[in-house]
Amino acid sequence: VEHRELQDLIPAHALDALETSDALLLEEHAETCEGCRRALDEMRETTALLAFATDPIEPPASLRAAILDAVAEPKPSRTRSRVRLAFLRGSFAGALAVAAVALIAVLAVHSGSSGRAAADVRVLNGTAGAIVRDGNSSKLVLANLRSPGTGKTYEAWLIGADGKPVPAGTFAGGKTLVFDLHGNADKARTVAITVEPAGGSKAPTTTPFASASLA
Amino acid sequence: VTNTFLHISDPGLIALIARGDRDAFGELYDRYGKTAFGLAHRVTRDAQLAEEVVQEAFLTVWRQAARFDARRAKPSTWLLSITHHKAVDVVRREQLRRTEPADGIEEKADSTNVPREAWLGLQHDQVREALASLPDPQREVIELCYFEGYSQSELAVRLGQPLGTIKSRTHTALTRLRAQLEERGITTENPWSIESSRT
Repeated sequence: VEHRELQDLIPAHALDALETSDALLLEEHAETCEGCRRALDEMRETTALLAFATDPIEPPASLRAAILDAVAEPKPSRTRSRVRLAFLRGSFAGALAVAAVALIAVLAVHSGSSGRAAADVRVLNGTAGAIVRDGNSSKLVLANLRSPGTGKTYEAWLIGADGKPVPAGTFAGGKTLVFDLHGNADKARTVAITVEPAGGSKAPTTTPFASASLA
Repeated sequence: VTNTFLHISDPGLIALIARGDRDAFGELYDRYGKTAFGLAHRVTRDAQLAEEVVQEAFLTVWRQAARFDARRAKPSTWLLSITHHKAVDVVRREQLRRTEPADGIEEKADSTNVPREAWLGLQHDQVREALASLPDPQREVIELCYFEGYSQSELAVRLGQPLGTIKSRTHTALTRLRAQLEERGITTENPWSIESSRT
């Protein structure tokens, strides 16, 4: 896609009015194109002011408490946070790679269909991958996932409002993996992936190493 | 109770938050919580969802404060952009776009911080005036996209216009809005980026 075409998307993106696939393309482009990044930053300074046009509403006092409680744990020391920063950078690069993979998936899903709503893409935390939702189907797209080891399998879980993980299928690793999630992801709030004994489990037996919020 | 953060700028607060300062985080919430909640409520039209959106937005700020680049955005722009993005996500996901009015939250005046209230009130009036000064078709694209969460292609269908028309209208609308804001003395410049580009 041309710089020129992406540049035209900047005002809409500053309003959060792009379809997900276009938004990802523009974000990726702006990482390397300083002109577009500046134009987007400038446009956002204007659109963010629109927030002040809404009537300010005093949130319930419980919200302030909930937010501050959520960060009550002391932050890791400086050395730890450096490690964490490096990790974040790594995962960001991974996320970009995955955005590309996810886009391919989106395009694949879209070819031959017209006038449908754009797919919804959620980047996974914990491993390079994304969830791509398009109409009734939800795909898990993963990049460079190591083999789970002998006698083991990966298992995906859909977690709904009740917090109960429902099995969504098992799969092995691979360089690029596109996996159709079983079950209805529309009702799920989170997708999580665990390592399970071969054949899979009815309920997770290990802590998820990757997850994506669908909320 | 004296406010120890009174003379700390917004970017200063973010710097403290990056080091894990919860009090600074609380101060940021006190500065922008009402605006963020008002925005989230306007877009989602649901108090419960608005709470979730605001909580997620603030926690994102907490987690990413160390990576915040003051030259790229004002902290308020950053926070409110995150809030808006999450609110629009919720609306698109839950197909929440409704025509009925928002649920019955009353706007409450808070008199605990008079200068802050006055500043917010002034900002509120001026942004509304600037928006109202735009020609109807331009104001409409901004309102439907920003406040109602429509995507550009949905809007093209709804208004029966080619996508290209919607795109260029959006561009003109935002450029004009910016000029109107500046005419009213509301700068859309990020002061920190001006400083940094001079050095």
